[in-house]
This record gives sequence, structure tokens and C-alpha cells, in this order.
Amino acid sequence: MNDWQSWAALAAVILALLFLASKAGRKKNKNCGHGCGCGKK
Amino acid sequence: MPDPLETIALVGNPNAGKTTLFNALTGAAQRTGNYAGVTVERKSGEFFTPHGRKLQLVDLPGCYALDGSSPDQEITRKTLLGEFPGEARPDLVVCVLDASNLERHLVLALEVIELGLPVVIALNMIDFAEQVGLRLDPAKLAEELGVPVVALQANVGKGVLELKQALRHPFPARPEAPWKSGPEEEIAARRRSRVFQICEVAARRPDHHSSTRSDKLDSWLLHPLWGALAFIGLMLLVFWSIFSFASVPMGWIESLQSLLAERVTTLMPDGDLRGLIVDGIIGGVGSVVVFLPQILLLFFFIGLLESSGYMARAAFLMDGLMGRAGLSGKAFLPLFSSYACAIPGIMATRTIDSAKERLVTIFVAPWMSCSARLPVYLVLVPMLLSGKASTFEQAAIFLAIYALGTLAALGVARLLRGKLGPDEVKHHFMLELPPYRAPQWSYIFRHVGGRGWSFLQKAGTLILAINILLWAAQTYPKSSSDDPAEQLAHSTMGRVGKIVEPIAAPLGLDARTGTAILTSFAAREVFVSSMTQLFRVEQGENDEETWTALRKKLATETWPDGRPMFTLPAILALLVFFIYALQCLPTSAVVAREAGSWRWAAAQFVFMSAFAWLAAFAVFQIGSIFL
Repeated sequence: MNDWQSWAALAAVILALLFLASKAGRKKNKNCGHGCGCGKK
Repeated sequence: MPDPLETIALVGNPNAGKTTLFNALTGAAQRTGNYAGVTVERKSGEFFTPHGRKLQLVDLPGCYALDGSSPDQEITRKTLLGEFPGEARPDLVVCVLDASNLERHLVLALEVIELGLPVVIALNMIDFAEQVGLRLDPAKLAEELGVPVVALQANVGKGVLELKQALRHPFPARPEAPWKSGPEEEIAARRRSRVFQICEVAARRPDHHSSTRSDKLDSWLLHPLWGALAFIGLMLLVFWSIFSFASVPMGWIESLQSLLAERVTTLMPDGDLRGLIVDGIIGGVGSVVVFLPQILLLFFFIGLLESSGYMARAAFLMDGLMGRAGLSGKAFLPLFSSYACAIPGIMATRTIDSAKERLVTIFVAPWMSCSARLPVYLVLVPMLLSGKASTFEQAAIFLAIYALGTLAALGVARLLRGKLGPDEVKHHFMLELPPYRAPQWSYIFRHVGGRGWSFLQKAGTLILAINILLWAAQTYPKSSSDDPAEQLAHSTMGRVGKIVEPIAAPLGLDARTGTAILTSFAAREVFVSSMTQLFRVEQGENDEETWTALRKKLATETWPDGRPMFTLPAILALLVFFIYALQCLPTSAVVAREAGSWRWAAAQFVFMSAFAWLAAFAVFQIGSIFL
């Protein structure tokens, strides 16, 4: 069993999760305007 | 600390040659970004004047007037008035005018001058104006407007040095004119009469109107019959070229992908990290990168058609047809592009003025059958015809598949457009038909390169992360069995597949096909490889061999009670599901970016998945009665 490979794969999975979480949690600029497509204005 | 660079804003009507001038001034060394809070691209670059002064140049979106409310007009107005947070007003404005269209372009120039900023007029396309017999006097124009005027031919760099020389320091200060004082109609009328006066003095029209080469071409290309036929022929040529020319570099990418996977497999001992690199990263990211040639080719043709002046004619020709779906001619190209790949199609919606129309176009674009669905269709369509199909029958089914997607897209667009209501501000579909010109290759290649890089950067990072997670879901928890099908059944993905079995069963599909559908939600083409794994089909020498083996295997599959599994209604239901389901994570990521909200992407995903399931359910249940 290549344990180091399991740990490295796990680290990659955690990094991917963190990356997606940071992308999802990024604050949006509330000063939206025409063209932003949010439909608020 | 060095002084901040002085900023020059480039303003002008669409097709005035702003981007060409921007590239001529900066040597195309540009930085792109977005305006704060909006997804409209902001392009800036730096250049030196002959006096050695470094200036920053910002290319503003093309617009016809400053007092409108389209995204482009608002951005231009806000930039000129210094209303963007953290951004000062520009130090000088270069207003680019098309010399052959002086009357219309002067309206914007007057508006910009009224803002009180120092202005230099770049009188572009002076050669074309001369060709049509217009005699312009830049000195008189400068006298009338009260600002420097430089005559140019930006596409060949003529007059660019003179323009740089005109950007002398200190910039001439202008008294701030009261902008928009008095009723709007009065201001507009005053401007129009001023434009007329200026043209009387500074421009002399030819005594008789002689038709130009563009007029002659337009008499054919805008003709109701010949124009439509030429348009269809051209679009078919573009479509065919994208598919045929892209196949070679796509093959290279696939070979590189296999080579990399092979190298890693031989260099690394068996283990989780190797599995992650080979299946998750090389396989997963490769499945997205493989579409890069098609995307580059598509943007090449878009750039070519735009640069030659034909694109405006195409939008004009399609306006009537798109109008029936509640869209305008500008929605045609994004939808057409989506047949190759929805991602560039969605990115091309940026040219649509109305925010609501843009959202609707983004919403329905993934229903135009993209090339990633082809492997699935190629496996399933011959099964429908029991392998005895003629080319004609197969082609007819493929046509029906494309028609089903397109009709649903146009129908939903019409419904959604009605639901969203009219725009707060009426957007007139105003199109300028620029003269036909020789394509500007440097512009086209920069455009293609920029789009390609943006695709790799944005979709690549996200798809990499998601593929790593998908790989983990297909790998953990681990099974003690060596059988890949057993391992997949034991994994999180396999367990979820079991859970979704009740959803797959009403479509006539078992847990294995349900799991394969689930794996294909990241990218559709994954479905075929998952099916070969789940139904234990040996990989052939090439795709065609594997697909034939898979078709044979599926044809003999039965339910535990002995009934055949892949009956005609079940295959039809599976096909219909793939026509309508949104199974492409990069598309969702691009939708979220372009629509400005993940909620919009999520709503689209839920709606399309539900629609796909209901349509497949109806096909299977009704088909089971009659077939």
C-alpha cells in the first residue's frame, strides 16, 4: 500500500474543496448595474 | 511614490474603429478586466507620446449616445463622469469618429465635449470618406468644435503619430458646460442642428450619390431570397469548418492526454495519487481542454465575420425569425455558436444590449445540441435502428435530435421573455451596417487568443477542482474487490446511483445506467466511458470499436425477469434525456459568471434537468404503450 499516495490524494481533495468553498463564498459587489444580469436593475 | 499615470479614454460609436486605434496606439499591449459590479469587459493599455510621456489608455464600450441606459452607454457615461468607485475622471478623451458617417458620429462627439473634459477628435477612416466622395476639412472641423482634430487611418497606422503629438501636456482645460440642462428633446434638437451647421462648414458631400462596393454587395447579401441563401450557405460552411478542421488538433490533444496518462502510469506505482492524476486530472481536465480547438475556431470565424462587416448583416437578416421567439437578431449568433459548444455561445451574448434578452439567451443556449453530446448520440442512434440503418436514416434522426433541442430552446425563450416582461428601457434594435472591409488579422488573432486563454483559465481551474471531487466520489469508500464495476458500485457515486435508481426506473433504466448518467453531469461524454465500465465492456483499439462492443452488450442486457432492458422506448427516453439535460459543469460555471449569479445557473440546471426527466418519462411511458 502506498500510504503517501493516499495522503497526497486526500490533500488534493481538501484543496479542491477549499478552492470551491472560497469561490462560492466570495462576496459579490452589491453595486450592480445594467449588464450584470442579476435582474435587479 | 511615482505619480499615477494620466488616463486617456477612447470613446466612439460602434464600428468607428476604436479598437483598431487602441491597438495602433498601445501596440496591442492590453490588460483586460471587468468594470466594477458588471461583467462588461474593460480594456486598458499604456503608451508613450513622442515627448516621452507615459499615458494610460482605456477603451470604453462603443455607444451612440451618452444619455441612454444600455450597459455600454451607462459604463461610458459613468467612466467619463468619474462615477465608478475608486476611479477618477479621465484626464483627456479621444473621441473616434467615422469620417464617412460624420453626421451621426458628431452627435456623440458633441455630448462628450459638453461634459467639459479635454477632448481630441480622431477623424478615422478618412480614406473611405474620400472614396465615397466626401471632402472633409479637419481644420474647419476643429475650429467649429473648439477642440483639436486629427485625421487618421488607424488600420494602417496613418495619422497615429500626429494623434500622439496632439496629446500635448498640459491638456487644454475646458469650461464645464451644463450637461442636460433643459428638456431632453430640446437639447437633442439643439445638438442635431449644431451637427448640421458643422457639416455644412467642414464637409462637402458629392454632387451625386454613387453606389459603393458595399452598396453593391448589400444589394445581394441583404436581398430577401439571395441574402437568406448566402447566409445559410455561409453558416453551414462555418459550422462544417468548426467540426472538420477542429478534429485534427482535437486528436492531438487526445493523443497527448493518452501519452501523459501512460507516462504517469509507468512512472508512478499503483495508488490513489496515480488514480487521481490519471483519471481525475488528466482525464477530467483533458475532457474539457479537448474542446479548445472548436472554441478557437468558432471565435476565429466570429472575429472574421465581425471584422469584415458581415456580422451586422447576419443579425439584420435573422431579426425577423428571432423576433418570433421574443429575441432580437443579436441573439442569433450566440445560439448558433452553441451548436459547437455552449460556452463560447454564452460568452457571445455580451453583444446583446437588453439585460433580459441576454439572460433568456443564456438560459436556452445549452439546448442547442453541442458537440459533447455527439459521442452519446453516436452510441445510441444506431441502437434505435438495430444496426441496419442507412446513412440517410441516421442523418434524419440526427436532424430530428437537433430540431428537438432548437424548437424547445426557441419555445422556452418565448415563454421566458413574456414572463420577464418588457425592458424598463426600450432597446431599439439599432444596427450600423459598416462598409465591408478586409479582415484585420492581428485583431482576429488577439481576439481568438484572449478568448481561448480566458476559457482555459476560468473553466480549467473550476473543472479541475470539480473533477478531483468527482474522482474522490467514484473512488471512496474503497472496496476490497479488484473489479472496477464492483468498486464503482461500492463508492459514494455508486451508492448515490442506488439512491437515484427510483428516478431512473420510470425512464426504463437500471441503477447502472442511472450511475452513468450521474457521472455524466460533470461532462456528458463521460457517460460513454462510465457505461463501458459499468457494463464491463472491454476497451477497443479506438472509440468506434469500443462503441460497437458497448452497443452489442447493451442489446443483450435483460432485467432479472428476463425482459430486454434497452428497448426502443428506453433508448428513445435516454436520447431525449441527453438532448435536454444540462450536464456540463463548465457551462454552469460560465453561466454563473456571465449572468452574474450562481442562483441563475442553479435555476437553469434544475429546470433543464426536470424538463429532461419529464420529457424522457413521457417518451418511455407513451412509447411503451405503442412500441
